[in-house]
Amino acid sequence: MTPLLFVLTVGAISLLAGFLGSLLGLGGGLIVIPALTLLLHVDIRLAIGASIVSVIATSSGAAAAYVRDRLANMRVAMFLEMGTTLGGITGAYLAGIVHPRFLFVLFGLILSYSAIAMLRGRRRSEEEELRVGPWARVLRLRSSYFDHAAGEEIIYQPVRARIGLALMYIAGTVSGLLGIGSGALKVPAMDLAMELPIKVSTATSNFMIGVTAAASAGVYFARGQIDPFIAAPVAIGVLAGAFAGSHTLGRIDSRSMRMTFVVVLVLIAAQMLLKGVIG
Amino acid sequence: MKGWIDAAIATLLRTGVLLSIAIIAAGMVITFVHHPDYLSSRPALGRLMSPGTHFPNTIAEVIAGVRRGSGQAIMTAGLLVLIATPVARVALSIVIFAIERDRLYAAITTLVFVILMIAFAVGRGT
Repeated sequence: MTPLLFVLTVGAISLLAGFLGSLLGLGGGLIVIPALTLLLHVDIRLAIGASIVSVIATSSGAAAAYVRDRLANMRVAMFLEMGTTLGGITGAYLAGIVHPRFLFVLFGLILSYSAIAMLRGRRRSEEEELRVGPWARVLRLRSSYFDHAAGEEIIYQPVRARIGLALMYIAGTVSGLLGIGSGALKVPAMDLAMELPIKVSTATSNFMIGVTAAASAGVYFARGQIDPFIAAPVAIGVLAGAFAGSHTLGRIDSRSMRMTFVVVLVLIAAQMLLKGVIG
Repeated sequence: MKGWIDAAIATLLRTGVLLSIAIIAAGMVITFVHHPDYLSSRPALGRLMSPGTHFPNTIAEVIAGVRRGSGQAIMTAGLLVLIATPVARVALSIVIFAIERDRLYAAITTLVFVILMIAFAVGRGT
């Protein structure tokens, strides 16, 4: 393969990863890393370096559109970013200590759990919806958005802010450890624990991922793990894909989106577990 | 939240992204112009892809490379602009919450910014 063909191939794969990533609230890194290593035999360390850049690209590319459409909740994002960025630092520290295979297994298990939990959906009663804790009240997290599929304004009240913050710390740690955006952990945390609408969870996750990844990206850059020949086509491809994806989100049905998300979670979980067990 | 806030943040993110993509694309074109063999040579890819290859990994090195007109350094500069975009968004959010006299969220956002700076300092040490 010539460098030109390589750049074009990486660009095409990244375009697809960016599109799916922004639709599902994933950074795209979970698609880019396996594609680069398995299909193009790129060194895993360089693939992770390129992936972390693609994570920022997806987030920033899609976030501009989500903010404009009022899908992303900026208060929820700022509050939870305290957890993700602190987790990012923890993860960067732990990366040098823990065995990567342990991480793959752990991540695979968390993803499997998320997939099952989302498949069942949340079962909440009317009384539960009224129980808004002091944190969620003081933080003024209540907001609304216009749902294009339903054709109406949807008002929502996030709950369990502290649990959400703790889960974000874990998501940030995983992000720092594996060099991914860990949107696969952020979306279920907001959807299931904080009871945000799925579209708001996805958009807010996308909005936060860039900040979490920026912290990790500095480390990868300093370590010399960002190869411009891989990272450049990945960044451009993912940006273009994320742009297309963000213009689709407001229009697709929440139910089909949930199912797509579950299928992707299962596939990634299986891949993670396999990598952790076989090595 | 008011419309201008959403517009300011969306504009910042879009500007950062478009600027970085323009710089990265320019760096890519310059690289292929300087190295015509990259269009046809197969062994060239191996040299660019091996884990032992050195890539610019300090800001000073990137700036020096950009001055030389190195396509690779220009691509890296574009990637750095992309990395800086979400950090700039957090900085802008502090200003916005301060203007809105929202002390709680100004404090929360400032804390996030401080944590980010700590993260970058930690990165230099590893």
